[in-house]
Amino acid sequence: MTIEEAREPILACREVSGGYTVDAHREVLKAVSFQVQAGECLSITGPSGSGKSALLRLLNRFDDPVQGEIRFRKKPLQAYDPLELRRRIALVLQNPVMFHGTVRENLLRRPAGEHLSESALIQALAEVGLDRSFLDRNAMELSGGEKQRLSIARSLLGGPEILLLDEPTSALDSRSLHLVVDTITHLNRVKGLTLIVVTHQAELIHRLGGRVLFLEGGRIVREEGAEKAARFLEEVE
Amino acid sequence: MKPIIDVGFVHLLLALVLVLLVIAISHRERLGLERDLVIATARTFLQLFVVGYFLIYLFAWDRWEFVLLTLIVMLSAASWIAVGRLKQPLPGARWIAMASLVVGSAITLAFVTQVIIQVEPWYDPRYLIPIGGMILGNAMTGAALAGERFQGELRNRVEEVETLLALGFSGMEATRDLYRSALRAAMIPAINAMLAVGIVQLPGMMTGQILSGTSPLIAVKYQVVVMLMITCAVALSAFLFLHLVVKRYLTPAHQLRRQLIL
Repeated sequence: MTIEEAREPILACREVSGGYTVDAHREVLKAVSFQVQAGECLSITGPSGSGKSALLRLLNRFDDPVQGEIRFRKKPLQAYDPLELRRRIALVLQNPVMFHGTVRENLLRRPAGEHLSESALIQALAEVGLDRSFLDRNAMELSGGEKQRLSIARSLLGGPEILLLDEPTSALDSRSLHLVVDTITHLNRVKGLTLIVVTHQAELIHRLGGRVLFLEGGRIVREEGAEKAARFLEEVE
Repeated sequence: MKPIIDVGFVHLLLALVLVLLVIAISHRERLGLERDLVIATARTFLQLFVVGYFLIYLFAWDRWEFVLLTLIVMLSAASWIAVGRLKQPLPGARWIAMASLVVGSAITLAFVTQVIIQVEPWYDPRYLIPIGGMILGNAMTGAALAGERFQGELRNRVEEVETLLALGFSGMEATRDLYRSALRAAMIPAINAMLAVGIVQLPGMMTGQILSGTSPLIAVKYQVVVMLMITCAVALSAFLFLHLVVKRYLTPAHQLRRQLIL
């Protein structure tokens, strides 16, 4: 690999407009451009309704932009099979949804044609700091933080290159928050997974490090390092 | 055989006493249903007499073109009503409803009239119109029930569907549980009707045949066919309708059209 190739961003948004608000009736993003390097951890923050989640949902093609282009490994997102794309760019939604049954049954619920070994399940759980005894636990009875980590483990089973996390710690108490943050930073720093994290929590931004994009009214209004951004958010709060 | 007793016009009006009784209850208990009752009674008279006279002419003309035309009008009305029962508007739903009712009803009607009863001539309105009406009416209810249930499930379980989509499930896979529950909801009333039939009350068609002098055994045979055909028409129409409705909520790129749900 040449140095030029190494600098090629893994994901690039160019002049992207569109995306839907939570109620799905208003387009929110206006000419958003940014790039993400492989192995980077990028945080996106901003007030509610600023388009953070809308942006995340464009990156795994839950929605398509009205204007502009998003490229993943040099090719436009539309060039990929959407189902394959969503395994490679995996979105973890804000509220972890568990299905009835055990943790094992939840992990084994895969798209048609995907089969997983027991050791793959144990490894995915280990990545998020849960041991194998969890496999037989009732998924509905896990704590909020455990559900969130299980939800991340479930996405890891698809072998993602980029993990998109939408407010991963917003509903958690402080202890659970720390465990989830440990999980996320481990995936980035030890496993080298590229992360894009939407959050409004200064503490999470501080712990994640890396660059932070501020969204306001659907536009990127500034970019900061994590420390400065976290301080700024704390002052605002 | 004893001749059929006709209901004289004066005696028919005497039946209004039954409604007056209901109006009295509504008035006494302040239900506020008096106006509705008057309108509903008037419409019952009007609609049924119009249909009655129309059928007299249709039987007299005895032409397949008119029978077919009548069935098409009934079909359009059924699609209209089925779509009207959906809680949320869905673009193109009327055509979807019409297509699924056409296929679901036509297959059932053709099989019952041509293969089982062997109507002669094939278009005999005396058979095709009432049987077609029963099939369409039930198919309409089935499709509406399935569509309404699917919409409700989708609204309540949108996060579940999105979780599956985010894992790389196809749109059809991600909505399969919702689809199943909607199809079951549509089919269960017809199945329950088969379980209960004849135990407490005789079904309308059988009652009518017996009142008009048909042997109970013939009436029973007809009623069995009717029960089975209704179940089939409901299932076929709901199945087709649901398939097309599910596709409406998804894009070819397996995206959920949230603006149709939320």
